[in-house]
Amino acid sequence: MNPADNTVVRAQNLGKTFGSGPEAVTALTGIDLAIRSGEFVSLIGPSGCGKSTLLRLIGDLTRPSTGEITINGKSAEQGRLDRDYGIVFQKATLLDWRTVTKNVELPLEIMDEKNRSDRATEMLDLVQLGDFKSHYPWQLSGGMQQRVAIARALAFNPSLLLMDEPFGALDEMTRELMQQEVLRIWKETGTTIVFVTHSIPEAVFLSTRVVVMSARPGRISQVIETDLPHPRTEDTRESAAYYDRVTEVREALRHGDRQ
Amino acid sequence: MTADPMEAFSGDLPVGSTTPSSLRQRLGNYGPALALFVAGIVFWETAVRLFNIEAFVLPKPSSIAERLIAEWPEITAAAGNTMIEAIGGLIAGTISGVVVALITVRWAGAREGIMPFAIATNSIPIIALAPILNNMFPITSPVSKMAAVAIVVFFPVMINSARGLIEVDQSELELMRSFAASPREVFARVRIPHALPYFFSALKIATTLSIIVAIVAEYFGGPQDVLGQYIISKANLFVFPDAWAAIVVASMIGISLYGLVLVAERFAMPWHVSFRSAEEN
Amino acid sequence: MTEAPIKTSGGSTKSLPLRQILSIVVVLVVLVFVWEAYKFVWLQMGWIRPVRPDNTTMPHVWDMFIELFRPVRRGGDLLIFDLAARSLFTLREAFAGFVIGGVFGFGLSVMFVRSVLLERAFMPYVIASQTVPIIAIAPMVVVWGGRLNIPQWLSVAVISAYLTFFPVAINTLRGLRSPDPNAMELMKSYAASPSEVLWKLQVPAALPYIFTALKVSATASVIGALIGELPAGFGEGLGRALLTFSSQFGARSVKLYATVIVTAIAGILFVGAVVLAERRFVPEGNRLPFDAELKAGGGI
Repeated sequence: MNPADNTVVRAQNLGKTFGSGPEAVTALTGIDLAIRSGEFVSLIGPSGCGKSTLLRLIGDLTRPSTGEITINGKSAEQGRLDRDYGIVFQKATLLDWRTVTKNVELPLEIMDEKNRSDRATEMLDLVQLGDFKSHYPWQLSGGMQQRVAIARALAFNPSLLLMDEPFGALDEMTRELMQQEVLRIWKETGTTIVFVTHSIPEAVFLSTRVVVMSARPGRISQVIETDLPHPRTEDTRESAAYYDRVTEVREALRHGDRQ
Repeated sequence: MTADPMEAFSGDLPVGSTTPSSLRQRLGNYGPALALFVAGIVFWETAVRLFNIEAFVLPKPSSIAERLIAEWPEITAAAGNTMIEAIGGLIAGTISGVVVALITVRWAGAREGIMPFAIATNSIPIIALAPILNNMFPITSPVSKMAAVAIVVFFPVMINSARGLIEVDQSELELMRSFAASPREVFARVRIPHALPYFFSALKIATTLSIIVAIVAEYFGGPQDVLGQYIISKANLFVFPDAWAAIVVASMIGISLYGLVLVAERFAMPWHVSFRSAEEN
Repeated sequence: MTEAPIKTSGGSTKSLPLRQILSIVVVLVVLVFVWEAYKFVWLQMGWIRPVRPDNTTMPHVWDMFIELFRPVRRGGDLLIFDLAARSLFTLREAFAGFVIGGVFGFGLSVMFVRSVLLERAFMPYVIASQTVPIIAIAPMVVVWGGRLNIPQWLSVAVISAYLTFFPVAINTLRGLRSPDPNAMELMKSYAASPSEVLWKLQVPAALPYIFTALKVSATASVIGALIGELPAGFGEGLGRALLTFSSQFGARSVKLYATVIVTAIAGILFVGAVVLAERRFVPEGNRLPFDAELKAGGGI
């Protein structure tokens, strides 16, 4: 295990079983995955394939039943304790009683950071919400709330950003805008991103690699490199290479399902 | 969804409103209630005069007002003593309710034992304890009444606070875990703010109950210079306008305490959903 | 959002009732133990504060139950039979108050859901009504009842209804407003009349809320009946027994304790009956958690 090899996430023979006895459900089995620094990796698959569970294992929000997972060469738990990652859920999960700025400052307060408001301002400018600093979450649209959640996740400058279907609840137009935003933020910050989604176009548009998973039991069926040129724009969505990759992922999903 | 039965009403009260509401809006909110009040008083007064209803059946509002002014020193003295009982019990009951709620959150074992018991206790008429408490403590002391109020207040405050502290959104807890937040941090930054609306709705119920329970407890004996005994003695002497004057004062105290809680609530959680004006929602 | 790995521990609704009954028994045993231990220690140490540990102020728990099987007075019925008869009497008043208050509260909520103007006009007074000490108006209600030649127990029922209607009105209103806006639009698309919308959509949607309110109201109606009996000046119910035995506390305090126990049981039985009715009429998935009662307010 050498941290210098710039592997951020490494999973070896990872498995997760919920419950025990006859009612035990195998959510994940035999997961081997290495994510390098600066990558944008999407986890895609049908519901029940364990993609959210895999994300939670990376974040030490749940513990593996078998196998091993490391973050920056450390145990997942140590990674969490060192605040190596920020996380964004499908629900923005903003605390109602805090203003937008105060929500972004929350992790900084817990980590006892100085210059919290400067940092929050910087992050809110990054997600282009500088004008909404003193608003309460309910005064924002769904897309704006999700931007705040992203700003919050990035506030303490983690090396890894975990995103669990972050745009699942947004409408298609907002969704495409947010995808552009995330790519821009990824470029600007250089953060490694692991992104759970069930949208094929979204996975292809965003990622450097798409990890295709299949269900019952959850496992990785194929990993597809999406070497589309950057910067990716609206034109990318209309390119032939993009269509090819979308088709490839779609077939991988179908193939994995049939297995 | 918050746990507030009176939300429908209290939400409309612009106590220190953060959004400017025009005079017209205010009139729209309070106009009907105000009109009904005036109409009700006028109807009551005329009906009593018109049908010559005796004072022991229903006194005129004007004679109640008259007696209120005449009896003011005595009624306010009695009201002061009743308020000491009610507020003393309210404070004791609220503090112990919150403390036990904190214990149930900290230790799951305590929660398993206490919550079902508390919910079951909620279905017994606790007021029946008043005569026992009256006999347990010295007859002249307000402690027995405070104890009755405290017991009645304890259960809603405890159960509601515990709910608010426990029923936190799972994703909020996961978020705090991702920040590697300590249990203390989770408590201070997620659980307590989440419990505030639950706590305040219990407190609103508790304040109105406290006055009523104190008066009922007074009925079972004790010092004479309290509202309950004042009302009983006046009713026994068939001086009903005086009794009604005291009832009005008791009710006013209840409403004022309720209003105080509303103000405190708004002060403590200006962010809460019940204070959002309609157009922003 | 696929898997939720950490299960929430909140929501006591789903756990086994057997387990809940067990924990209630455990807490009761602990309370009895604390009572007896206090008595023992305070007697040994000669302490008298805050409460005297003697057999008058703090009788042994078993003496309270033994008292139930002694005659009320020389040559009279056993206390338990006397209290059972009184319980029935009080429960009859309470049930009548429960019905009157329930119907009235339901009517108010239907009125409010139809007209915002009426809600604005009346709602403040519905809330303010609960700040009026009913014990103070109880004697007058009895006087009014006497004027109208209503039997006294029915006057007490009206007093009881005064406490009962409030939770029903508030919760039913909330329940009537609970249907999804789309469901309301669907009814509108059928050109359903307001009463069809009420009975086919709003009332079924409100049932869980109504039953939650009725559980609160059941307790409140017993309280209302007890309080109503105090100044009513007749001796057939539990409220009067509380008052009488309270005044004889020095002589035989256990009678008062025994009466309080029976009163508690009467309250639990009434609420239990409502819970059974709820099980009959509201499918399990739709029931609100038992502790949702507190949302409903009320209940001394």
